[in-house]
Parts: sequence; C-alpha cells; structure tokens
Amino acid sequence: MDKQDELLKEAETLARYMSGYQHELPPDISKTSQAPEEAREELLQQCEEIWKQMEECQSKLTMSGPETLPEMDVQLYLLMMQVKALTAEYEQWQKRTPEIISDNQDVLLAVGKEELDKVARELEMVLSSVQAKNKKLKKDLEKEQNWLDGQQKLVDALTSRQDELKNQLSTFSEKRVFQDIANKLFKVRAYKEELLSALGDFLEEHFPLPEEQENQSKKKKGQSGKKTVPLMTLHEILEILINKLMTTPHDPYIVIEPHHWPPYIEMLLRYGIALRHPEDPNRIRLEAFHQ
Amino acid sequence: MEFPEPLGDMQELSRELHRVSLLGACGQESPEEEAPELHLHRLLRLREQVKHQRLEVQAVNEASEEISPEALSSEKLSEIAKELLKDIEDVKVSFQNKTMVLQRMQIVNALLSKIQEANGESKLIQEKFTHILMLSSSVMNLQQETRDLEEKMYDIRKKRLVLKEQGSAKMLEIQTMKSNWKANREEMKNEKIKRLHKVLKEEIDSVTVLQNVFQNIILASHVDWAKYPQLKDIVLRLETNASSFV
Amino acid sequence: MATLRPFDKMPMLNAAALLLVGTEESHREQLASAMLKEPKTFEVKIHMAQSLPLPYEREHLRPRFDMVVFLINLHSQFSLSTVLASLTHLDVNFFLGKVCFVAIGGGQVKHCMVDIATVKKLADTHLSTLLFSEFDSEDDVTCTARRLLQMVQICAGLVPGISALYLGSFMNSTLQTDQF
Repeated sequence: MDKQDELLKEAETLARYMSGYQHELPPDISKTSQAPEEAREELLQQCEEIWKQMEECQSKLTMSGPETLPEMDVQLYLLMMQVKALTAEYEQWQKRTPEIISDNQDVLLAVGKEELDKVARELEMVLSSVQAKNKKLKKDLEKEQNWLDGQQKLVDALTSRQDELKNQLSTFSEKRVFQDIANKLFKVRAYKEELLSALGDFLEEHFPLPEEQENQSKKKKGQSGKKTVPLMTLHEILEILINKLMTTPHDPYIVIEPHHWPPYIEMLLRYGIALRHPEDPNRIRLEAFHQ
Repeated sequence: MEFPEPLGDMQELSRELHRVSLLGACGQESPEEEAPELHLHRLLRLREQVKHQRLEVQAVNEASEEISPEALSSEKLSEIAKELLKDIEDVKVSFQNKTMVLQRMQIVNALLSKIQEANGESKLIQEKFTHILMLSSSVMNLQQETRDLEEKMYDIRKKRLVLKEQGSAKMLEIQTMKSNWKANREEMKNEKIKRLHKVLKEEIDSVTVLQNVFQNIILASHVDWAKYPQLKDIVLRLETNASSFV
Repeated sequence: MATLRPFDKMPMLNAAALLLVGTEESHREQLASAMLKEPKTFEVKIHMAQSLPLPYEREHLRPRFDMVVFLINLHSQFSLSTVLASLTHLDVNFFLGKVCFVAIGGGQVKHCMVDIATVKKLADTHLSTLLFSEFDSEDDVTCTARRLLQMVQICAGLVPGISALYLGSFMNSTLQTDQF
C-alpha cells in the first residue's frame, strides 16, 4: 500500500512538473522560415569558388616531382622542411583578414538562430546541473547538520561526564577521607583534654608541693644565706617529660635540676613512669608507653 | 526507491516520461528531412573546412617555393620551429578573435532587424530572447543559492572540526582523569591525608602515654580509686586502647 | 613504382583517407574495424597494404591519402625492415605530421625481437608520432583507433585552424595531441 501511495505521489509530481514546464517551453525557431534557396545557392557558390582556387593550387603542386627521403641526415633534412612549411603557414595566416559570414540575411538569421538555440541549450544544461548541485548540497547540508548535532550532543555528554567525574574526584574521595580523619582526631583530642584535666586535678589533689611552712623555713634559711629555688609541681615535671618524649623521641632525656623535688623523681622512677639514663644518672626520661 | 514488478515497470515508464518532457524543452528531435537551416549550417561548416584545406594546399605551395634556410644545427631548427608555432598561434588567435567579433555583430544585427519586422517569426525570436534571459536569471539566482549553501556548508564543517577537536580533547581529559583517579587517591593518602594520619597517630600516642602515666601515678598515690566514682570511671576508661578510636 | 605523395589529388568533402601499412594482416584488420566502429562526424576511408610502394595499376582508384600509419610488430624483425624499406617510397611532405608509427606487442618483453629504443629512434628521426599498443586487448585497440581518428581528422584538414604540421613528434613537449 505504501509503495502504491508513493508511486501515486510521484506520478502527481510528474504531472505537475510537466504542465508547469509547458509554459516555459522555449519557442522552436529553427523550422519556421521558408526554404532560403537563395542563401543556399550563395553558400554553394562560395564553396565552389574556394574549391576552384584549391584546385589551381593543387595542380601547381602536381607539376613538381615527388621528393623522397635523403640517404643521410634524415632528421636534419626533415627539420628544415618543417621550418619551411611552418614559415609558409605563418605567412598564410598573416594574409588572412577577418571574414564576414555572409551578406545574405537568411544565412545570418540561420546562424543567429542556431546561436540562440545553442545558448539556450547550454543555459538549460547549466541550469539543470546547478539545480542538481544545489539539491545535492542541500542534502549534504542536512547530513552535515545532523552530524553536527550529533557531535554537539556527544560533546555535551562528555562535558557532563567530565563534570561528574570532577565532582566524584573532589567530593567523594577527598572530603570523605578528610571528614573521617577529622572526626577521629576530634574524638581523640576531646579524650586527651579530658584526661589532661583529670590528671591535673588528681595531681593537684594528691601531689601538692612540699609544705608552705617548709618553704617558709627554707626561705628563712635562704635569707640566712642558703640559696632556694622555687620547686616545680609534679604536674609540670610530667608535662616536660611528656613533651620531650613526644617532640624529640630520639632524645627524650631531661637533666635533673635542683627545682625538681627529689622525692617526686624517686617516685617516678620507682613506679616505672620514668627511667634513668643508663650512663648518666643525672638524666631521666619518660617510659615510652606508646611503643 | 525500487519497486517490484509491475510497479517497477510503471516507475520506469514515469521516469521515461520525465526524461521526454525535459528533452521536449530543447526541441531536439532529428527530423527525417533536414530543415533548410540545418542544410545551411552544414554548408557553412563545409565552407570552413574547404577554406582550411585551401589554406593548407596554398601553404604547401608556398613552402616549395621557400628558399631553404642556411645550414643550421637540428637544435637550432627545432628552436625556430617552436618559435614559428608560437607566432602562428598568436596570429591565429588574433584572427579568430577579430572574426568572431565581426560575425557576432553581423548575427545580432540580423536578429534585431528580423525582430523589427514584427511578424510571427520575429515574435518567436523575441520569445527566445526572453527565454534565454529568464534562464540566465534563474541560473544566476541558483548560483547565488549555491554560494550561500556552500558558505553554510563551510561554516558547519568548521564548527564540526572545532567540535571534533573539543570532543577528542574531552575524551583525553576524561581518560587522564580516570587514570589519575587511583593515582590521585594514592597520592592524596600520601600527601595531605598522610599528614593528617600522622597528626592523628601523634595524638593517639600522646593519649597512650598519658593513660599509662595516669595509671602509674594512681598506683604511686596509693589512692583507693574504687571509692571515688568519678575516678573509677576514669581509671576504667584508661584500660581502653587509645587506638580503638581509629 | 610510384612515390606516394600527399596533396596529389583533391580531397573528399568531409572525409579522410588513411593508409595502413604493416606485415601483419590481422593487425591491420583489427585496427581498421575498430576505427570504422567508432562514432565520428566525418567519413573515413581506410586502405591497407603490406608494404610500399603500392601497385601502379590501381593508382586512379585511390583517394588522396591524408595520413600513413606504419604498424610495427615488435615480435618480428621482418616487420620492422619492411616498414623501413617502405619509408623510402613516401614523399617527404608526409613526414610533416602525416605519418604515425604504431608499435605493437611491447608488453611481452620476452617475445620482443625489436628493441623499443629502435622504434623510438625511428619515430624521432622522422619527426613522427609513435604510439604503443597491445593488440590482444580490445580496449587498447579501441584507444589506438580513437587516437588515430583524431589525428587523421586533423591531417585531412577537417578541423579548421589546426593543421597536420602541429602533429610532428617535436610537438609532444609543447602540445598534447590528445586535446584535439
């Protein structure tokens, strides 16, 4: 059914095309005039005239005998002949003057009509070839446009894919891992703060500095000449030891100084919190609990 | 499109019709008897041929009377021959151009004076002129269309080229992004995240140290920690491994 | 024993006459029928001979020859020597563009008895066109026939403005005969 419809459509187009074209049919001008007997006669006469002239010339030629190739230097001889012939032909052409077609109106008209027909035919050929070319161009253009659209879509798709990837790369992997670690860090730090403050409280309560009175009496003694140093709290000593261990693990020792109250140092050593330097009893370090 | 028979036959016929209708436009049927003008054309063509043949015979005649050039080398002769050919060509072109101008003038003149006669034939010639004008203007219009179409085509092709380059550049970028993906992740662990991990480890270490110090301090203090709920809570938590936070 | 001359008779209206000379009858026949088969706007008369000179008795029946084509079978030394002998029976005016050599069978090198350089030199010396053709290929024969028809049309003076003089071998560099 489809094919029949198509065919019908084609036939309709054809009919339309033909009836449309009939109006534009160029007039046929080549067969309209009466037989220009006179014109033909004139042309024939001209031809005969020329023919006669040629005959005269030709008979002159037959008078001279034939000439065959020389035994030697054939090429040179022929080249010489050629130059002579070309010179003669050149002279002939120089002698020619522009020629009119004919004085006869009928002949001129006939040539004119042929020219017109030729021009029209050539134009029709050009027209149909340009039409065909344009049709092909339009088709190609459509194809190219489709390809262009396809390419645009592809590039768009690639762009969004690229953006997607970018997002994934930055948000998914980076942020997640960071967040994760940051959370843990936060928890550990919070616990550390808690521990520090609890430890601080505990130390303050259970390991105060030696009695004020003692200090007072020491001061008095000091006044009497003996030098006194303000003692460090156990908290402070521990802080220094811990810091030293954590910041310079290759050299965790501190030197025992007068402001380190000896009983505290003794206690730290006894309970395995601190260790003495194996060669220098004056230096101690914190036990590396984390290793 | 191709149809099976007999639709195919019909299509064939319609194509033939189409062709005939186009042919009719040129009016090119070969008649049984020659139109008088055709005869004239043949005569004109013959006249040209005979004229040329006459010229040739005349030239041969002249050549036999030509004095032979003095003895020259074959190279020199070839050179002269080429020179002469060029000269002949020049003279010929100039002659043909002059003749053409003259003959055009004659033809146009004849056609115009025929048109002025204002009879049936002149009307036909007039129409032919009009037809030619119409044809040439359509040709010009169509050629303009061709130029426009070609320009559009050029634009689209340019755009396509740009898109093609863009497309392949994007493909390449995506490829490198993908291949960098894993390397990047490793690198991130190695760089920023590694730094963060180090910080975290240091914190955990210091917490571990603190825990142990605290435990031992409590031992050293001889405090009965179980009696104090707050302390007990802390002491129990000192037992948990700090790295379990990770 | 007559020397063959161009312009010895009047031409025929819109017609050209060609003389095929060569020892192989089959080659001559093949080429002649190919030329006659080709569509053309002028009439062509083809005469054939094994060698020159042509017998005197039939002289009055012959047209004015516009062109002489020598067929050389490269597989036969005899073919070449016959052509060479025939050349001396031609008027020198023929060599101003109205002679053409056709070398046949150059493709089968192992069968060649005649060196290609020899025929090239021959054509060169006589300022004449040389065509190569394989006569076992119909396309080749047709192609050669077409080429010869173009040449003979010019030689017969049927193309106003162009004369045989321009067809000589020295023209090959300046003008391609193909364009006629």
